[in-house]
Amino acid sequence: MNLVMTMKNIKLKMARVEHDLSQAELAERVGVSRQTIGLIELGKYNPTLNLCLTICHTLGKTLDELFWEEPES
Amino acid sequence: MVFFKKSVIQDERVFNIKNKIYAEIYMLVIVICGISALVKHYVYDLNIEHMFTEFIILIAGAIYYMFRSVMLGVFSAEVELHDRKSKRSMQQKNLIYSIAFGIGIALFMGINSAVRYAEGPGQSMEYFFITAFASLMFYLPFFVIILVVGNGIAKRKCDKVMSKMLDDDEFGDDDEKH
Repeated sequence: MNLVMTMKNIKLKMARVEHDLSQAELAERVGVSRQTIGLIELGKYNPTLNLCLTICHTLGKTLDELFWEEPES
Repeated sequence: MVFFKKSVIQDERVFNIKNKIYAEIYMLVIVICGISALVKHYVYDLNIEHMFTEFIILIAGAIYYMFRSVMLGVFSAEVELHDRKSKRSMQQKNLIYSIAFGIGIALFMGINSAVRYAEGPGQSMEYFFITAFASLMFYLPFFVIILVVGNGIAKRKCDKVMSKMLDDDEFGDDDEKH
């Protein structure tokens, strides 16, 4: 699975908005800082698999739904 | 040609373990510096000017960590995570620590002065109060400035750095839900 993000993670942002959560609220539920969530959404920070899973569990999504990116050809 | 494409993925297990070892090395250096300063003072009876190198290593390390954590936006995150978990905010704790350090050092100086230099109980009391009061007047503001004001300034600077990093969001999202 390609978890190296170089682009904005719009899927994460959409899932967060679906749950009517702010970055700060999601951060609190996940147990990280708001800045970390902001940087993941901007594609400026690559989360570990553990953090990805925690975010997925919190938002009720799979890894594919939030973090999958097609490999660059 | 896929076969000749260089992989951009690095072995993060090796990378993380190496970073962990570097962090342990830093702790080792701090401990060795502390032991060195104590040995110089208590075994070789050397003055504080002979511990200059140790102090430089300890202080430079702390300043470098503070500077980097502010410039990389980690300091605000640390404060946020701390304040979320703790009953007292980091700023309140810093104020309590600075008062405790100030009073602690003042008491130490007062007792030291009374025991070493005074003759008789009357003079001991006098020396204790004079030295303790003078030390309190000096060390209390010193620790308040370093811990409370210093951390406040670092937090503000770090917030600015962080908002610059997050400014790139074309959707204009900082703490908004949409």
